[in-house]
Amino acid sequence: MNTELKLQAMVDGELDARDMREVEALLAQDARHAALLQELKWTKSAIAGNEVELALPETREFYWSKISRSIEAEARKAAAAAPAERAWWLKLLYPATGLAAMVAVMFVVSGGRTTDGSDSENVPEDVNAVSFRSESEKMSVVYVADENGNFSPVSEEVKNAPEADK
Amino acid sequence: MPLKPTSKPSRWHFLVLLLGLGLGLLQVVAASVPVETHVQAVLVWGTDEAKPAGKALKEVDAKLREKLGKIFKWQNYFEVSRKNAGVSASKPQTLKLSEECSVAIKILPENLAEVKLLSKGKTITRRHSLAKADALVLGGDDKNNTAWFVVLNFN
Repeated sequence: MNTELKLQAMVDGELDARDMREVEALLAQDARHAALLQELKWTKSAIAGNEVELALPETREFYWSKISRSIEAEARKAAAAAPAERAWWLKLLYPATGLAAMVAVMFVVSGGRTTDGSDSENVPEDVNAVSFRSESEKMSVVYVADENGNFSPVSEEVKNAPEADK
Repeated sequence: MPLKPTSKPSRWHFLVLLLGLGLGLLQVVAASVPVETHVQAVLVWGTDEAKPAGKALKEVDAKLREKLGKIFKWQNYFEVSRKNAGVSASKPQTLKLSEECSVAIKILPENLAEVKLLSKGKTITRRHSLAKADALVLGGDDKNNTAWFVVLNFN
């Protein structure tokens, strides 16, 4: 690296310790390089304080695309903040659930009408009875086994032919 | 486009709520009104013999005869008597089917009917579910290898 570049690096604070000592020794002996260093420092300070800002011109398409993107971003933000539109059946879910619960409670209170399997019989101890159900004939039967007909509700008068006919 | 929030109750909510209340009220009213059940009781005599001469017996209708014939062994089924009545929880009925036999019918809660067959000083009690469309047949052996039946239909 030549001396001028080293001076520039010194101004920019980019020299290592060894080069720095070398350049300082040179500046102590050489007034021309000392003046150059001073000039470089002034130039740097002048540029740093008075740099002209250059604005790059935007195209028409880029300008409108910026507006479009900002509108879309606003819409997305509003959609995220607002509650989602619920489905029509979901609106009816809570009232329908309440209605079902109410009907169920009323059904229980009214005693229901679906009792099944509660059939039972009570017969005297000396009566031998069997009960069964015919699914095909839709009949529930209680049958009393009594060969003597002691329980028969059919009177003898009905069952027996008149003596004259015998 | 911002979406419309739907947290406020709509008129549909009120409509469904009113409908629910109406149905509930209807259920309460329906439960409180006693429903009358029509009962038909038929006393039947089953025998393998022909109809005794000079008796005012008639054969049971074909439908009942077919049903009884599929379950029991007798050749002939004669109707001795028939009674009809309306029964409700507040209005039990006793039907006299012969000089020695009557049937007391009472409607109980839980859609049950209690049937008491009283004959010759003895009682058979049967609790019968009305949830099924079954007929209730109370029957038994009779003298000379015959049988008797009390067929009860509820509707």
